[in-house]
Amino acid sequence: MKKVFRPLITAASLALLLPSALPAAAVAADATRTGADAQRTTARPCSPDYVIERTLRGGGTWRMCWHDTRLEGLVLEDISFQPRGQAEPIRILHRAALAQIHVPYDNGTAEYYDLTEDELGAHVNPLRPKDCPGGALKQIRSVLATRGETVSGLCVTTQERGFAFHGDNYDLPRSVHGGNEAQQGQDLVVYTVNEAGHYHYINQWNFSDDGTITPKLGAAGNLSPDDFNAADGTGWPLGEGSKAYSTNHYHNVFWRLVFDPDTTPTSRIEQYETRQTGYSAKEPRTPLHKTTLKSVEKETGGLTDANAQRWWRIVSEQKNTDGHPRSWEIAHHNPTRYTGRPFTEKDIYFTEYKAGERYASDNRKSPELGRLEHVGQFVDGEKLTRPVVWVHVGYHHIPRDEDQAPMPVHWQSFQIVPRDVTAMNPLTPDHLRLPRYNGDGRHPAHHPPSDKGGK
Amino acid sequence: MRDARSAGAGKRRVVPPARRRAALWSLAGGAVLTAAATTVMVTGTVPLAATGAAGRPPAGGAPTSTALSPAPTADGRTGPGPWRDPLTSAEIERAQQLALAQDADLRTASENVERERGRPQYLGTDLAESPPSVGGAWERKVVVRFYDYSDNTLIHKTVDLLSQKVESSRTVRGVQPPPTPEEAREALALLLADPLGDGLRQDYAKATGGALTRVDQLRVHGWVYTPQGTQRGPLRACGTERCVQVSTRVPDDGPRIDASSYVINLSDRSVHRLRAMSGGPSS
Repeated sequence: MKKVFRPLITAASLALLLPSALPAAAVAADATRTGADAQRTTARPCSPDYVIERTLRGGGTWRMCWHDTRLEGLVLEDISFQPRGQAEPIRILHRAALAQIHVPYDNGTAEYYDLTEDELGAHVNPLRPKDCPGGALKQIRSVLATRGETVSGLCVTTQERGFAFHGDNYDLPRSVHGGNEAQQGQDLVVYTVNEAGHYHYINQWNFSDDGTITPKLGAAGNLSPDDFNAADGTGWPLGEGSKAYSTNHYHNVFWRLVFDPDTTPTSRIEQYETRQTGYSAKEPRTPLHKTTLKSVEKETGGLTDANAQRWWRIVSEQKNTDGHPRSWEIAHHNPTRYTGRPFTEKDIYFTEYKAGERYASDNRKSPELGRLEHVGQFVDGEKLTRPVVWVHVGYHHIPRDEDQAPMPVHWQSFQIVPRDVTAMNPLTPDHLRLPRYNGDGRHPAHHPPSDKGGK
Repeated sequence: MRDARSAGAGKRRVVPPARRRAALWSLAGGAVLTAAATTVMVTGTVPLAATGAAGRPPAGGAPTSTALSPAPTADGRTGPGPWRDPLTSAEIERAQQLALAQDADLRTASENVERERGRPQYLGTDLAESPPSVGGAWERKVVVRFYDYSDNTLIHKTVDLLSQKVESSRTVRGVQPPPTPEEAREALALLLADPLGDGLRQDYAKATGGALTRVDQLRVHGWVYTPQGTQRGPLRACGTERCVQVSTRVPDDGPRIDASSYVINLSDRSVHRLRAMSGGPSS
């Protein structure tokens, strides 16, 4: 039989019953931690100045450490999310950072590797308070510093993201919950703006109050004035007439994610696909679809595919209180796949953890790393026990008149979405945290029928 | 273009290297070696996880001077900074000292971009990745990067800031990371000292009305020049040798002064002009 929460977790139960007692419950949970448990959950590997910690409106708390490197720029480590009512933070990632920005121009005149050739990470722009609305600016090392070695270049703030949910629950009298259940979502947002040549990249990470992580890279700045050497087919005329063709180019962005779900670095990868299998026998011959699972046992590269509807998840050894393995889904659809280089051939790569495999390409420019040059070579069939996920998102930039100047920001992103991390929506209001709203289909008023019973 | 393909025959002019401060540097390196060895013995008795009563990293332990700190004590209030904080300037300096202290060749025979003997060109220091581990132990290791102009090698040393030991050292040839601001300035200095710098001087005079006589009259940004395909002529050594291009700008949001048709070989201190190409310079 399913339960919303394990009855043994007294602090969580208390919080359930008495929403106003949440802070007290948190203190109680803290007080019960001892020994190894305390070391595991409370010891942070960074000092308070370099912790990013924020409890969002929905009650969940994100925590992480940050530092910078000359190539990657912002590196986030020890990333955990503690949903409201959960006694302990849930570790998600050991380390997360950019792994390359590959910028090849269509006419073959230029091919840039912005992390490894330009030390993108070292070129952090200073931000003004108005560049970080509602947030706090932190000092970060930058070669662009005009005084000292740092600039106020790291913004930590919150942003609204619209509706987190909007629904109705048929069996609650409207007098109890005042009509529809609805809540506005909020994100913790962390970013720097780094420059490579004429481009300014916004290296941004959104951490939503529902447990979703959205890494996103915004390309801004100006078109490279020196890459106006194209013709019809490889560029677009900008400015008056057709004198100057700005050259089309790609931004192939790679992120490297070292997962550490539930502080047990061993995890597994699952791949899912959904395909139409036919039609129902009875009229009106409804299309039938089937979702199939394939376990990814060895290092591999994968392709996103609108037909196969393929996706992947990283599965923890731990389970949620519904008895389902906790996992994080990579919500990813590479819109533009650049086929010109071996490391851009796949949209996602899964490799066994190796400290020497850091950059999606140009890896050998850092001699302390391995002998291999790019992520395509890292994939060599090794068994996966501590998978590292490399996400590749492409963008083909065909310039337009509006790109000058300055160029409007264009974004590339994907998401890391919790799947069965908690038994219910972590934002579910307390009065709905009841078995009948959590897949208990026996309740006569429950609507619609749960789809979770088959697992 | 950064990857300009049409490198042409250019004029070659070699500027004699400067030699300063080398002896002083070697002396400092020797002193560091002694201090480091002492510290290693002490840290050996203090397990990493024991610092801080609740497994907490030592708080606020960042040293404020460039001298080597004493070993971490049981309460974790001295020693290296918290495991995963950004590196402090003092830690970066100390890591360089440690890296050099344990490498006599690099300490005595190397050369930086100004050809000072016994001083490898310092490129930068990064906090190294701490591998994921069951139990959550974290490391504080750094990678210190040098370029040795005496033999055109790139040297990366991994230094453990806790044990104060150099854990590994990798030396490679033919890999050219981006130039530091110091190297870019040296490249500009070589260009200005060369007759090929006349064009730059004229452009500067046109843009500002003044005479360009010193490097600090311009803000400079450099990038590595990598020849594409088979090369002939004086730039064929680029790649094995350290060749850069620069873009310049008059400080305080002044105009750009185009310098990117030049390639400066920092390894042999020669200056070259690229042949006109379809594109034009990039940055």
